[in-house]
Amino acid sequence: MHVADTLKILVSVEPSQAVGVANALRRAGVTVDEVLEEIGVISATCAESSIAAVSAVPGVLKVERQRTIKLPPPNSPIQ
Amino acid sequence: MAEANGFDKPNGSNGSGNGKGGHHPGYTGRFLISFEPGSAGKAASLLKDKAGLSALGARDAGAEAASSENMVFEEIGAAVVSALPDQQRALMAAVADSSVPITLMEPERVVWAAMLGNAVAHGSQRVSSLPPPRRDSLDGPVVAPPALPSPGLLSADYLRGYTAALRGMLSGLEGGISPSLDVPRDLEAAAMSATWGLQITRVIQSAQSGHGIRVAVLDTGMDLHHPDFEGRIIVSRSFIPGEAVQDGHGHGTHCIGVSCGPRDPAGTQRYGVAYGAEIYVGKVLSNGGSGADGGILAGINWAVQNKCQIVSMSLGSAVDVSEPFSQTYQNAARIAEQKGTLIVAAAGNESNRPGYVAPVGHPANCPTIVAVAALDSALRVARFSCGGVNGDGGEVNLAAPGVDVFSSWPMPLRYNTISGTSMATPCVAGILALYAEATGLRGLALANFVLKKSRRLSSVRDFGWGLVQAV
Repeated sequence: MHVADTLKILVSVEPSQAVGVANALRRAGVTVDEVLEEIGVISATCAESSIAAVSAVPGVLKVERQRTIKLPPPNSPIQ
Repeated sequence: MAEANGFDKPNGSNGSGNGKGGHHPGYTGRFLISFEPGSAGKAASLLKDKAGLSALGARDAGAEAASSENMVFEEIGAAVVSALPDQQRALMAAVADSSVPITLMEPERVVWAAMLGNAVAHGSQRVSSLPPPRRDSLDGPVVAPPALPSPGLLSADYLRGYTAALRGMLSGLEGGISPSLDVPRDLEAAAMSATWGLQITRVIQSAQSGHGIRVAVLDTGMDLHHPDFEGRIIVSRSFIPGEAVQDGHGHGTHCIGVSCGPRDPAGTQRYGVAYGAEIYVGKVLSNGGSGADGGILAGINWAVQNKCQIVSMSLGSAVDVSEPFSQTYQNAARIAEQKGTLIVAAAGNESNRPGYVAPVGHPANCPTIVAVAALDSALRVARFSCGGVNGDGGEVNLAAPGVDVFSSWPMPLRYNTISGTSMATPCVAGILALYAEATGLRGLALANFVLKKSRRLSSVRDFGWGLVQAV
């Protein structure tokens, strides 16, 4: 798998199903980064081509790409 | 779906501003003077001797006395006067002089009938005469005139601080430095030795400290060795692989200062709101200032696990016009809210007004996240502040001081003055903590309570419910 094909995603789940869905994602070849049971989110890394398969995993409510947030440098007057 | 996810919206929130009412400065330009008990009989002659002011005693005044007259209220040891700048200076000198029985001077405020109680008690009745509520089942537009908060508390500390600062201001005058008397802001700022932001949000008048409330600030971490935070309860965790919580950028330390800074920092003005709150530092942005959604959500998860009532997020990314909010963040925020954790986020700094108003960014554009805009000390929207261009969660909910905000910074610089919706956000977070302590409210109930107490400004698109108020 080329690094260029991988992206960071967010998977929304019912909090009570988080652990189960994470296991299913792993079985589907997805790298699970964090299972956030309190708020019903799984962060993961997968190939772009796998997004459709991820969406089809039972218990997955929504799949999104992760955004990156960037602050201005420390010496910027507007932060 | 009828579930309540978002916040109540103020009247006329059609995305283009309601254009009604215009600016409400809140002050009349006159001054309230207080006298020592027992000295009220001498009040009129004191005003004449010290400041050349003629005042009518209320006992002598007939019913036909104009409300614009200088008036002494002997029964309550107070007076209301109009004063020219040099008369103001003379009055301030009299207050600072402990041998003169004039004890306090403050600007006269405009006061409206307190509509808030009615709105809360009869909310549904009011709404029934209005157009149907918008989606998100916000409580519905409320027809409230700009309701100013109840009178502040005049504690002994307040009076001491006020008098000390007036003495300081006077010595500046005697030294030939003539501070701008742009009353009332400068007067109060000088009096209270606190940032303009704490003045204008009436944090100074609050009796609360945020005691017992946990405020999580998800940002670049904190300078854990900053002297102003010695003795505070601080729980911290890094969500940036390879980086410790210690703030290598500054942004996080500044935001924590605004939300939770000390009441009496040594050698400088007060700059923080919830000085009694427990500080939860979640480092979700690197020392270089960047972070991904995964780490930010991990920080939110940690805050919810730790039962933080407030999460402050001075972070975000730009969205396009009509771009929808992140369903993942919205779900997370909704679940957090149900567990008693309210999330506040910066509206964003992508605007370049007046030509370009950018939409409220991600994740503040989620219906269940409080989106905070920035204004300056003249209550103008900040040039960079994003606006409620997108509906469906993309509204600005509230505005707070976000231009030239003084707060803590990593040592050795110790303090810094910067601008941004990043600075407005922790101010709201701190004030939410004060109300959480005072009312026991949490989540959306807390948010809606505070929204309705804000000081309405001209544009709903730019300010939402208006300027946040602590009392």
